Amino acid sequence: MMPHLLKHLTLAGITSLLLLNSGRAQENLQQTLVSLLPQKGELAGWRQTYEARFFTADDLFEYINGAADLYLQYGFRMVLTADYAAGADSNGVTVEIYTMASPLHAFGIYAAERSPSEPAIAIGVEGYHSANVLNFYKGPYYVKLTSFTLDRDMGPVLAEMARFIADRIKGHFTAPEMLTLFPQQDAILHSERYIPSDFYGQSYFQNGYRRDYRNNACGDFQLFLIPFSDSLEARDAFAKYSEFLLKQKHPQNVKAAGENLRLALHSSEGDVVVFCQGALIGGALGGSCRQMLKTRVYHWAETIRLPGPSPY
Amino acid sequence: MSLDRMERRQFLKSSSIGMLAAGCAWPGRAAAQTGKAQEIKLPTRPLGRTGVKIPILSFGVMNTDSPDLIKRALEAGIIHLDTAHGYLRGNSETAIGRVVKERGDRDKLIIATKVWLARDHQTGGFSTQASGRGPAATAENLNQMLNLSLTRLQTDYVDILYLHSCDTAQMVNYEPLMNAAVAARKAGKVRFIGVSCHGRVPEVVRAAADAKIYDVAEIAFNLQREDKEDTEKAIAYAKEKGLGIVAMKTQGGKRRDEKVPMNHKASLKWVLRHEEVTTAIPGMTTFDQLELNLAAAADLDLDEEEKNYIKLGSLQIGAMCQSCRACVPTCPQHVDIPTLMRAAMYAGSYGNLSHAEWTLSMLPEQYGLQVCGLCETCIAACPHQLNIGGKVAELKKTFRLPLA
Repeated sequence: MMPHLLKHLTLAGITSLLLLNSGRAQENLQQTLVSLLPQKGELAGWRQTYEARFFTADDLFEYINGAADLYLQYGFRMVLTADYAAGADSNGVTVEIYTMASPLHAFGIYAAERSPSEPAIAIGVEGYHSANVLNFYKGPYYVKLTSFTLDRDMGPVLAEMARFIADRIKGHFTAPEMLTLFPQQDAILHSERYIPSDFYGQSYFQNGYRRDYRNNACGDFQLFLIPFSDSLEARDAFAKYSEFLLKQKHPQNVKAAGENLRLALHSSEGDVVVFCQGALIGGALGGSCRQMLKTRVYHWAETIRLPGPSPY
Repeated sequence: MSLDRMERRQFLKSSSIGMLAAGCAWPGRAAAQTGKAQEIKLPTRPLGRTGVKIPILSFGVMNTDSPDLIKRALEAGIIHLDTAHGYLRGNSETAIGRVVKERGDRDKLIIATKVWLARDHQTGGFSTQASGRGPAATAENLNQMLNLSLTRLQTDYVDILYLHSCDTAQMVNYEPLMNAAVAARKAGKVRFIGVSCHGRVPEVVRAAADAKIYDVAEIAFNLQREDKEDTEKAIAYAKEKGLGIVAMKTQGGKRRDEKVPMNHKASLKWVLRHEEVTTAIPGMTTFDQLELNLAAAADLDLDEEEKNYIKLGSLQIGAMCQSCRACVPTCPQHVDIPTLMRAAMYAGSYGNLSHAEWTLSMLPEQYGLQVCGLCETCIAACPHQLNIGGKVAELKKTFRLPLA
């Protein structure tokens, strides 16, 4: 009896320890997030009006409803939300700090919600201010500040808090290095995206990057890059994608355009050029000048190399 | 060289990849020569009393980044696209607007969006004070948001405007917003008015059916929900009253407290076999999911496997760990099985590997994935007969760990 009881007590102890461990990780994350906010009197003119609340993957849905699905795809961990009164008029401002799985994921969700028409501002790695909103990202954090004062520009007020939080996030962070591999010609500023899964609707495309382009003659198109762990994996995905395109795109002139690990399709649904170069798949979608895109993209394929190790 | 790598190379030799690398032939040529993927005829159902009929499969657009996927869905016969004002800060509406403009057939489509206005969680009603997530619940704000949505969608009207996430009867019956929605309908900016809800679904459906101004309710409805029987009664009531029902989260969604289905086709069929449901709006992110859902919607008859799944799903067996921890004392390695099951759910059902990895990282190594020897002693202890061994094995494969 005694050894049996002892065993159960030990197991109960281990179970409690595990729960404690999990709870402690959550608590640590909460404390980290709180430490990014100004304490009482640290930021003149700002007063916290409600205690911070926290949501995790378990209950994010209760906070942002259907939008939670996308945040979870981007590796959401925890959000802190706190309300402030700012300035002499006590304007209401909500601060949200989303902790994502990595700096890359933070960039990904930030970029998903950004519009290229919103000029970037130098807060964190990058931010923007639009109407009553100021959002930025730095490290694994995506920070969103929202004012409900709509009758005047709250930009300077929001920027004050944003800079405070950005300074509190320690470490040097830059935009994802993969983005530096994209050509500049015809590029639309602030249109870069990182999509962690199901890129272009393909389950075998994970960790895709893309950028929008506009050319007077050819219209709008996108360039994209997907890094793989090795060239075999890339070739495997390239073959699957080629097969998919040939089924879906009603291609014309494929025979003339097809080369080893390269594919240029001209179709009524838009042109596609794809290449597989080492452990990378890249290409162009859209536009209406297959020859121009093919030339550009094939040149890109010949010169592109994966960057070395990075913080991402 | 590992065995895995060798097998992979041998496979490549005989596969289309090898042929591609050698510049021999293009895979899929035969399929390409046949032109479009096979078209599927989707059944249609009336959207309540509106006089409009729509296919039983629609598209919840917010999670996809692929305009081609939206185009393919429309080509396949889907006509109803569902989004919300706030999804991706409006980028979801903008993406739909571009696709619709390019196609030039706005009048053939049913576009739905939703406006989220502030609410008071203590009273369970709307609030006239702006809150962290949305502006005050006033007619003026509803109009402003609707106008902005129309601009993004590049259209003069939306077919359905929902009051987003109304989870109480009190919210459904909030007169200032009801009146604003009716005014928008009179102004021609909205064809039909609806409420969307995730919680207290039966209560909300009945309230919407009784309120008279609503044409449609968009509800969370799936095999694993505990309120499904009450919801079935409520949607039968809604049908009598002429309220259309749009089902969301049909395959479980990504909400933790909804049990995650493993058979997506059977789950969608289960929802659509309810005649009261006008259409479902699964949030598809891949072409494969689209094809799977199209096939399910085109033929709602259940095969044996689907019947069994639904039977098991109704009993909530085999779907998801309930964290009862009955298995934990039986494990000779003292593995924290419920945490592994949670990680397996994130990896397998949500496809969210980073979250699975993070969940596993919460465990000390000596109680984690590595030490499970797949002895399956735990399965006998599981009151829900969960296939723990299979899930752990999948998880090990995903993270490239040896099975034993």
